[in-house]
This record gives sequence, C-alpha cells and structure tokens, in this order.
Amino acid sequence: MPLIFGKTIVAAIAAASLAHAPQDQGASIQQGQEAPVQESAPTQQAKNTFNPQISLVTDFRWNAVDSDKTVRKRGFLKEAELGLASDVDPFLRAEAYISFSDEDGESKAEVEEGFARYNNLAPGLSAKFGKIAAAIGRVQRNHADQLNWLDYPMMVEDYLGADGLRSGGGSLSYLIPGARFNELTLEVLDSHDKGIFAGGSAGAPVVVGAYRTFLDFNEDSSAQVGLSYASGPSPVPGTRSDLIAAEFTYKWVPGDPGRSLNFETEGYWGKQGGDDERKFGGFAAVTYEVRPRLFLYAKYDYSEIPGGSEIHKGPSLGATLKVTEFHHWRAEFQRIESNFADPRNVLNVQFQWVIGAHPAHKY
Amino acid sequence: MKHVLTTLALAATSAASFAVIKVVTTTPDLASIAAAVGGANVSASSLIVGARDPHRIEAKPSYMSRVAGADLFIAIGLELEIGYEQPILDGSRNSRVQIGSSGHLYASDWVTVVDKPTGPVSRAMGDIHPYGNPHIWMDPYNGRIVAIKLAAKFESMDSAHAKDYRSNLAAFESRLDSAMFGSRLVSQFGGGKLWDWQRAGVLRQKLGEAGAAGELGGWVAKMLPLYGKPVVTYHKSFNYFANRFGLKVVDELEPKPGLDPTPGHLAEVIKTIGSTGAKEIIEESFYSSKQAQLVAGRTGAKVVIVPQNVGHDPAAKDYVSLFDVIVDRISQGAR
Repeated sequence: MPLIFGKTIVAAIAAASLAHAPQDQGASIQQGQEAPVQESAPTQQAKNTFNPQISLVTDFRWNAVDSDKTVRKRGFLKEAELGLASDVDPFLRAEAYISFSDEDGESKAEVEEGFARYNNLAPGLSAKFGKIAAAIGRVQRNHADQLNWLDYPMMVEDYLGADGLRSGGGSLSYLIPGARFNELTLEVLDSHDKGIFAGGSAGAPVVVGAYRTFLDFNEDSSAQVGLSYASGPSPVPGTRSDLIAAEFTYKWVPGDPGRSLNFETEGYWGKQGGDDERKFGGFAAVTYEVRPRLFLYAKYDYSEIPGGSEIHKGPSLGATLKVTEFHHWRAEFQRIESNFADPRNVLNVQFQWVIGAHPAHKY
Repeated sequence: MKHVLTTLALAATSAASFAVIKVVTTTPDLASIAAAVGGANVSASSLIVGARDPHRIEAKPSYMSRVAGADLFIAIGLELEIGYEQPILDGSRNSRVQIGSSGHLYASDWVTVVDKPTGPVSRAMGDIHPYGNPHIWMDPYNGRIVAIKLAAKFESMDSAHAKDYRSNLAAFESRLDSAMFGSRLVSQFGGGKLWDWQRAGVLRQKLGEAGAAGELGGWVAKMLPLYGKPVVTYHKSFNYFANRFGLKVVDELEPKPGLDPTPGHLAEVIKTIGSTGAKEIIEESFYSSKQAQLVAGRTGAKVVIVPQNVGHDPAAKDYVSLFDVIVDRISQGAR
C-alpha cells in the first residue's frame, strides 16, 4: 500500500525472515527446452445462475468531535444496506435495496428502492416500476454509500427528505439516438412524506421530468449536465410545490495511476406550496486523488430551508482512503453555520465495507 | 498517441459510412481484431481507448449511447468488465446486445482459460477472478482463435460478404503467423501446422527434422533465448503471454490481485528474485513504476514497461504490432 510505503521497506526487508517460495506457475518449464503450452479444451463460462447478485454495504460512524454538547459522541452502525439484483425473465431485471439504519439509537428497516425495469420496451426506451429514487438532480439518486463524502448535501434533506425522494411509482426513460448521450425521463410517483412534497393527504402524485446529457472532451475529461423539474402536493393542503434542479459534474481521470479530479455542483430552486418566493439550496464539491487510493475533498453547502426564513450553510473538508475497491476509511470535518443556531463544528469518521456482488463503477 | 487515435477514429468513421455490421468492444484489442476480419463491412470501435487499466473503467453515459446502436457487443468476459458491463448494457436499452442474446459475445468463451481457482474463492484472495485469468488477449494464439470465431460470426450475420470475411481472416492469420514464426516458415509449412507444433512443444524438433531450424524467425525466435527464464510482473496480466513464450512468472509485485505492493511483499519479491535469478520486472504503463524501480535497484533486475493493449503505445497500432512492441521490449530487456 503506497501510504505505508517508503522507508519502511528497509525494516520490512530485514523482518522478512521466512523464505518465500516461488509460485508454481510455469514450474514445468525448463530453461532452453521446449514444453507443450498448457492448454485444455475451452469451456463456456458458467456465470449465470438463478441466484440473485447479493451485496451488503455497511457504514460505521464515529462521531469524534461535536461542538453541540447535546449530541452524544459515539460509534454506531449508521446503516447496513442489503442489495439484491437479478434478471426476472428475458424482459425484466429487478433490483432491491433494503436499509437497516440507526436513527437516534433506534433501529429502522426500510426498502430504500425496490423496482423492476424493462430495458427494451422499444428502441431507446426503458421503464421501471416500484419504489424508485426520483430523477431529480444527480446526487440524491445515488445511495449514500456511493457519495464522495459522508452525507447528502443539506439541500437534499431540506427539500426532499433525509434520504432524497424515494417513492412508489413508474419511470419512463428514453435514450435519444445519436453519438452523444441525451436522455429524457418522465416519472409519476406517489406523494412523499418528507420535504416540500410532503403532501400525502392531497392524493396527488409527484410528476418529475428530467434531461441529462454527457460530454466527452477527450480521453481524460468528461462532464455530465442535467436539468430536472418536479411538481407535487405540498405540506400545505390545497397547494402544490415545485422544484427545479440543475446538476453539473466534471471528471478528469488520466491514465496515470493515482490521479483524478471530480467536481460536482448542484442547485435546487424550490417553491413549497404556501411560500411567497422560491428558495435556493445548493452545493459544490471538489475531490482530488492525491496519490493512489487517497482522496482529499472540499465541499460547501448552502440551503434556504423551505417554509420559513431559516438558512444554514457551511464548508466540509475530508479525506478518503480507499484501501481496496471494497472498503474505505473517511474522515470529515464540517462547520455548520445558520441564522437560527450557534455555529457547530463536527468531525466524523466513517468505516465502510461491502461484501458480495462487485460494486458497479457508476459515473 | 493522438495520431494513432485520430487514425483509428478516421478509419472507424470512414468504415462506418458503409459498414453493414456495427461492432462495439470493451478493449481495443478486440476492436482491432474485429476491424481486421470485418474489413470495410464492419465498423469496429472499443469503449476503452488509450492507456487505461481495463479493470477500473467507469460506466460513462457516452458508452451507453455507443452501445445503443451496436449490432454486436464483444467483451473479454471472466469478470474483467464486471464493474461496468451491466450498467452500460442496461443504459444502452439495446435488446440485440444484452447478455444471452446473439449479439453479445464473450471472447474468453472461445479460448483456454488459465489460473482458474481450484479451491474455495473469497475476496481474502484479493480482487480475484473466480472463472479464471481474463487477460486472454495477451496470447497471440487466442487472438487468432478470436479472429476465426469473429469471421464465422460476421458470416452468419452478413452472408452476402462471406467471401470478404474469409479473405480478411486469411490475411490476418497470415500476418499474425508470419509475425510469430517468420514469413519464410509460414510459406513453407503453413501457419496452422507451425502453431500445432508450437503448442505441442515440438516446434524446434520438427523444424530440425525438416532441416529448417535456421529459418525460425518472428516473435518465437526473439523470445527463444528467454525460454524458461524467470520474470516478475506487476499484475497477473502476463500469464498467457508467459505460457505461450515459455517465460516463468515467479512472482507479482501485487501481493494479491488488485492490491498495491506492500513493503513486506516487496521484500519477499526481492528474495524471490535473488533465489530465482529473474532479470526482468514487466509491468504496464498504467501502474506506478516506483515499486518496480525500488526492487530493481536492490536486485539488479531491469524494469520493462510494456503496453497491455492496442493504443497504449504509439507503436502498438493494432493487435499484431502490440506484440511487436511487447516482444521487442521484453527480449531487449533480457540483454
């Protein structure tokens, strides 16, 4: 591992007292003599079984420092997420994510997402039905374990609820033919119980429309841009809320080992039913890989909380050590300032691991 | 690099204008073979371009758009593309190329796979490939098999140009075989027979019996002095190559697949090099060479940086020239 590499090599060499046996591979080859090339009959890969792909991701937290003395410093398993995915039949692929979380000391189990998707309804057209993450923006569509920092930005919780807008319904998505990626999405979801669409009693659905495009600048650099709009019932009976979201992601990933840059920003302009004016929430974050597997990041959050005049904001600084693709350590310092409470300084440490199915390399 | 990419892009664009079959592959080596066998009737391009570790690719949305229009999607398989294949196929919404359909191929289904784990498999063994080593293209014989299979596939999809595919295949085989054994031997015995002898380990014996031992050329002749010689590699990516050319891979710098070299493991590698006399540490340009240089500095072994895929090096323009570069560097490194 590069982090512990360097001068320690000398000590390690001295300490390596056990003889290391060379590997067996190729042991039958004698210098200067030809031998048959090791071959056997090709076999078809028995990859596809009827068992679903199963994964378990756990997120352990240690609240190391918190200037808010009412918060109990502790270590706790914030979330364990069980993921299942499999083809249902030749037409349908299903995925389900079940979350077991610790909220203020109480355990809670919830189906975060559970849907089945028709990938080929017509050329370019796919549809999914079930409990799905709404196509609003980019960040809240990711599960928390896929974020480049600890938690969702402030505006996600303020506008859509702590885990974003995940609700029952249907989603139609169309990939516009052409060399460039252009995608249109239309969704109708059941009303939500959190955020500006917390209008369950209104009996009206949340309608979401989204457009995403992707730009490949060269081999190393690319960007994704998206715009989305959602309209649905509000917590104030007889009114509707709406939200406009804009997202921009830029990535620089050269072939050189251990160098990459990721810039993400996203803004929500939301109007909750009953509010006179549209409120804004957003974040910008940059993540830089300073050496293989070690990432440093900085993020700034700003959020005008809908339904009032409260605002909170603040910077975050963090570091992630991705020991392997399957587990990482992360430390994040966040300062939270607001117009309704004293500033708060928080330092959290995260230990996250995944077992089972190989994680997807999502953009 | 830019020149190579531009040339490839122009070739793909001009071919695409009248091509019958649109092929998208994951690695550039598969695209190179498909382009050679398909000729003007096939447009072939790869998702991975340039010096990239094929294990660590992200499922870019632009890949989905490219696969959306493909008639044929060819991957290596053996879970090389496990992190990104499924999201790309899902995002493409292309029913022709989904896993299990006739437009989806795994090249590794056609070849002999090495390093299949024989006991229990777990991630304690690193980022292991439970169905075997996926770096199949690193054996030119496997590239030859892939070409034969692709020619048959193209014929089945486009019988009107069957003759073209057969003649393209013959030209590819002739070029590959000549590069492997030397053109004089290929003219005298035919490539098929030479491969049979080489695979059976009797090539030099048969050539000696035919009084043609002195005619041996190509990659085999260049690699002959290294036959049975121990080498160290960074990752388990050269086992197919080593198997074909008789090299003995005695250790890797990675303690386990996918793990970065640790001081403790490098100390063991240094001891292994000392006990086996390995003279070369072979690694790809997309890995850090720091650890290899450190080991080389303590053992006297040479660090040999080679391309792993077409396009990794300006001289590795296609599948055959990829091996020209690899063989030249490894054989020169041994001097």
